[in-house]
Amino acid sequence: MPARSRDLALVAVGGVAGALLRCAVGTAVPHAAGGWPWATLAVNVAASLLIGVAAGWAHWRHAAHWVRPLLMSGVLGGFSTYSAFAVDTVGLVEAGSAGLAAAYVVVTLVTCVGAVAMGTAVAQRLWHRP
Amino acid sequence: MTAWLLVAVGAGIGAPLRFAVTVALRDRGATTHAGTLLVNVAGSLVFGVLVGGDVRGDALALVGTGFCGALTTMSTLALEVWDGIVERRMPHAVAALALHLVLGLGAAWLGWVLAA
Repeated sequence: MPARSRDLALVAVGGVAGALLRCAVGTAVPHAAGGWPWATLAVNVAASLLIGVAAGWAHWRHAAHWVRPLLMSGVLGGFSTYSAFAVDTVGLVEAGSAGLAAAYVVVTLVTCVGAVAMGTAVAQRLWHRP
Repeated sequence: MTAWLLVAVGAGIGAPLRFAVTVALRDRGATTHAGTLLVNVAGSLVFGVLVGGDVRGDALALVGTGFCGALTTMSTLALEVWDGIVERRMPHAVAALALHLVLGLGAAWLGWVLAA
């Protein structure tokens, strides 16, 4: 199988697994209309932490070729979501909670980027041999 | 049970499409940031149409939670922003965030008001 077709298949398999996990979290923590989107925030922060670890692993351990398509683009890409974040933000504004919407945007972006930083720091401690 | 299957089918299309778009743009000289931005804006527009139009049930599971959810990604965006900070490419990191805020949230809002 050509490399690109194999990568696409790996992303598809990982993406389905990640999306089902995200769906399970969303079912466990239902989102009330106009309420703070806890489930989406949780999956996005968790996926950002793990992609930091995976990126560090791929970087410092020269991880196998399947790590990026299967885990990073696939599982973590399918697990995390930008569209629900964007639509939930609009939903908060439409519900008259513009302040909550602004807070949700800032908290999501800061915690997700911070989670990547933490993830890469963990990977560096585990796998970086200077 | 059906809803889970529909989410899986939607994600099985959305996730590889995100990968294909990113690779196709990169082959044409764009950065991977451009691919991430394009899929996130497109997915936000479609999801905005669904929720603004009060679409529920099977269609929301297939196209919204499954397809749009897997087409778009927050983890890759956060990784790109963090890489930009670490590699002292601050303008890239700030641009990725600003474009996502303006175009991504704007697309979700546009879809919502068009369908509402």
